[in-house]
Amino acid sequence: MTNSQFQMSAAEAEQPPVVTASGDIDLANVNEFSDVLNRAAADSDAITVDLSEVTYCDSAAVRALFAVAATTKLGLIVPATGTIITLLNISGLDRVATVVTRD
Amino acid sequence: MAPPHFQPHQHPQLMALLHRILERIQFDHLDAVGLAITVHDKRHDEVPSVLAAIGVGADVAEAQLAGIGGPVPDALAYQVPVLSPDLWTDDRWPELTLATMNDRAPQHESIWEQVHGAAAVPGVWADDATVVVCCTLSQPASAATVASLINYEQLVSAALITTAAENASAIADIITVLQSRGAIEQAKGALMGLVRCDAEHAWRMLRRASQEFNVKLRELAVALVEHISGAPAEQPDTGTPITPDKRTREAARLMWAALSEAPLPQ
Amino acid sequence: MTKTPGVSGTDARKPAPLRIRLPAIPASLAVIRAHLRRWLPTAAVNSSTAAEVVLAVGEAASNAVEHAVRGAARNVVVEVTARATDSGLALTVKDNGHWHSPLPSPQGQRGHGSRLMRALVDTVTITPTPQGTTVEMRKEL
Repeated sequence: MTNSQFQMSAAEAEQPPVVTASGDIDLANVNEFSDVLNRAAADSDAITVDLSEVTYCDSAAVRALFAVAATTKLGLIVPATGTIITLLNISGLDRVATVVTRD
Repeated sequence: MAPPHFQPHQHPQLMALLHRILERIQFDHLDAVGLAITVHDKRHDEVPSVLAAIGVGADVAEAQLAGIGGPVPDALAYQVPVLSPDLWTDDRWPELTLATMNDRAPQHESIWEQVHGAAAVPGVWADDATVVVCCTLSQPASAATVASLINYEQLVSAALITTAAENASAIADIITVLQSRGAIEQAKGALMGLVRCDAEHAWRMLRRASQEFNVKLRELAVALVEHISGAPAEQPDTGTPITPDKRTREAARLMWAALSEAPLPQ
Repeated sequence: MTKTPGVSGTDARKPAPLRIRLPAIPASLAVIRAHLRRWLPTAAVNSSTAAEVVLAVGEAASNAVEHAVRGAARNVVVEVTARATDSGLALTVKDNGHWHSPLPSPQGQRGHGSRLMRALVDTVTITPTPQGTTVEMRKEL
């Protein structure tokens, strides 16, 4: 069931909109992920993407995040250890997005 | 019977096309001091090699591949885009420094001093054969740099795939994209909006329609855009303007009508 | 018994090898992950190593799918195999797209190799066999 995998909550007060992703993100649903990212970024110059409940994420998601970071300030919440933070470091996305780790 | 071993270097039309793609990238990134396309064909035990380059692109890619490390070998190894806002000070590759490049290629000393950011985007163009498009900038590299290279990597991979498959008409279409980017991007955008698909899907739809209706792709794109908007389409910067004939306009009309009636894909 | 971190050491505890063949389409990627996630614990691979293996295989399989789409090849199949060896895991990802022609060779089938990401593991050994190329991944903890 992919509908509830990517949720967006609108901006409130000083906080930018938050996109919360869960489960696996791969080639099959990365377009959906991009759509939600774009919707969140449409009316805001910053968004936060919470990946702490994501169980699989590879270069497809990294490409989608680079695409949104090209025009929008990106904040990422990720698990402190594991493959996601490794990918962020290898790709250098952690140098253009603000990364917060959560355990 | 297909050739036993596809060697990109041996295809002058492909090499010319790759250089045109690099020139196009340079046009979009005026702060690029070096651009390179590197391939790694593991099917034949080859080592990675630079296929085409502009500026200091070959020197910086070769240095990275020689063991110094950098965005190019990392992008090849991990198959993920790699961005470095500031190459000489990036702690991922401590040996990749201004001093190292001055030693390796002193003839480019004045350029090495200008280098700031770099980005490398990988792709796959055959079973066990990868490609990396990389750029070295005189400004910090940003996510926008990567996003732009991701699009160009698709063109490069398409060029390699279609040459390897000896698909001459597909090669012509890729050249078309470069020449008449305006109308084709407009047509793709319109298709993406109507059918709710992504850019690659829209591109394939255009290609398929041009084959099925037997009309030139760039003319179909112009006709489609003019049919939808009722206004003239963006024309290419060089050469003669594209004026679709009656048959092409009819094809565009039919294509749009069919797509407008089709149920939205799941 | 020498302790090999992450992998079982005796024959008796080696699980049956995993072999999956699926169309090279995006929906197959989740199926491959599900199979691997079920199989890896039976090879006594701990969860963080398992995540790295799933990522390495997932990325390679994703390449096969993406490439099948770009090359507009039909009926491309992606095959993933996994088995436990004495020293580690042996994993392969292969596809059979039409757009490259098989070379006539004494072994019959040309070795495809695999596209596993070397960077996620410590050593990679490539061994050509009559069935193709086997890549052995060794992961030290």
